[in-house]
Amino acid sequence: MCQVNEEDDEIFQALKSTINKTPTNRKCMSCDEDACVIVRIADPMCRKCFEEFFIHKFRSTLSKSNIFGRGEHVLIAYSGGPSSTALLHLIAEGLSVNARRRLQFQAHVAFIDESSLYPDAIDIREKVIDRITNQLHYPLHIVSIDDNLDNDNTLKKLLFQQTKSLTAREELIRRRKLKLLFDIAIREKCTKLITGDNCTKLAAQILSDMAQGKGAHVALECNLTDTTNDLVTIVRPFREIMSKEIAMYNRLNSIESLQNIDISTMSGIQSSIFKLSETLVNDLQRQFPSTVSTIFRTSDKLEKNLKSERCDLCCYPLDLDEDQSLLSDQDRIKLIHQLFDTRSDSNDPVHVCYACRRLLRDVQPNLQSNQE
Amino acid sequence: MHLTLEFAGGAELLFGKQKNHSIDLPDNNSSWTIRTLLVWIRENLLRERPELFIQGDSVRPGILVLINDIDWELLDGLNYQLKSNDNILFVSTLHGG
Repeated sequence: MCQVNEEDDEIFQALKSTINKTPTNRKCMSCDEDACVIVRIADPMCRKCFEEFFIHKFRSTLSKSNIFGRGEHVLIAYSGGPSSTALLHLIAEGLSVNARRRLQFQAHVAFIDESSLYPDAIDIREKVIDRITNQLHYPLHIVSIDDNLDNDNTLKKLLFQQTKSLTAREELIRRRKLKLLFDIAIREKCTKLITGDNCTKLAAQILSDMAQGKGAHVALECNLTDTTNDLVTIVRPFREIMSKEIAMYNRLNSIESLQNIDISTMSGIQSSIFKLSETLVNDLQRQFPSTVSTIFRTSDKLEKNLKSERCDLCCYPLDLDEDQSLLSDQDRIKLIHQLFDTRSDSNDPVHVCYACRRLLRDVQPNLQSNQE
Repeated sequence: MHLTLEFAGGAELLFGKQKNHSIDLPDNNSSWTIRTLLVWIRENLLRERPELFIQGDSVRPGILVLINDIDWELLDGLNYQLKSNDNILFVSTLHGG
């Protein structure tokens, strides 16, 4: 039956030897220089070859299938974190006059100021302005995460008093940020939105989404070009680059990220579904270096037949029928209109996908209902 | 033995938000390795939440360790024997530090 006799099983032995292999060969795999980093499974690379490898992966991803039109207005989503900072750096190089096969689009940068939610994030706005406007000279669009809300406390109250779990808070913030980014892109007539999502993070996101009922969308979320929104296409040039590679590249080029704080900073490793899956992915990746790429390539194939209408909360296509996706709770409808719908009439019906419906259960639409 | 430690990517939040630390390890009979350095860090530098930095006798997966800008996986990992004036960088690649 299904019994693995470890000594006899050749495949098991081969697998074990791959795991335990310590790279005794410290020379770069391409040239004969001393290696400084291990990428992919166990490939040692010297600094020069690593940088070429990194930049090549980025550029070839971007120039595949002619994603950008000449002079197209493109919005870069900048969070201040290591991935988006590396992204900016690479795009700036690609746009510079001396670049080989120079990039031909017009860059705009968007930054969503979340400092009202995290008291520790001091001066971030000034630092971003300094970097983007003064150093790089790209048009910068800063929007507060409380933008267009009644007052600065609405979102804070929603997240910290009316939302039960850290998972729900993370997910609400994620959806709100995407909505704001789309709004900026549309307003500035940018037809593309570039994000710095890297492979490792996407793998964790995929598992986390599946755990929350958002499995219908995972294939879309790991696409290079994501046409979920009719007007703005999301582009993810780092989708095949690991977080370790980005950290290494930043270090070798003294690229400093501006901030690393978000809603789950300093919270425990099991405090939210995303943190759990991120921990899982990183733990596995340490012993089995093909974990991330396997998750990724598998999800790419999990296409699902989706409706043409979009979820009003997460912007992705609905996975439920129209009558099943229609929200009937008046309070929650009002909430969605307030936070996620900047343009339509507040009497319009609201449709949500399965995952967003579950998410809303963790949110109390107004405080009065707690008194019952 | 004198070393410089650097923390980045959010890891610095666990060390009083200080990115650079210049430290002197007491000389003892057995030489220092990354493994023993981590124990020392845990006892002497780590201000709070050790589980966010250390897991078992190693760093938490997702934290990249560079010794003089070289991947520690190329240098024996935990068993690497520290030399005077080595620069050890701990970068967190995890979200929220």
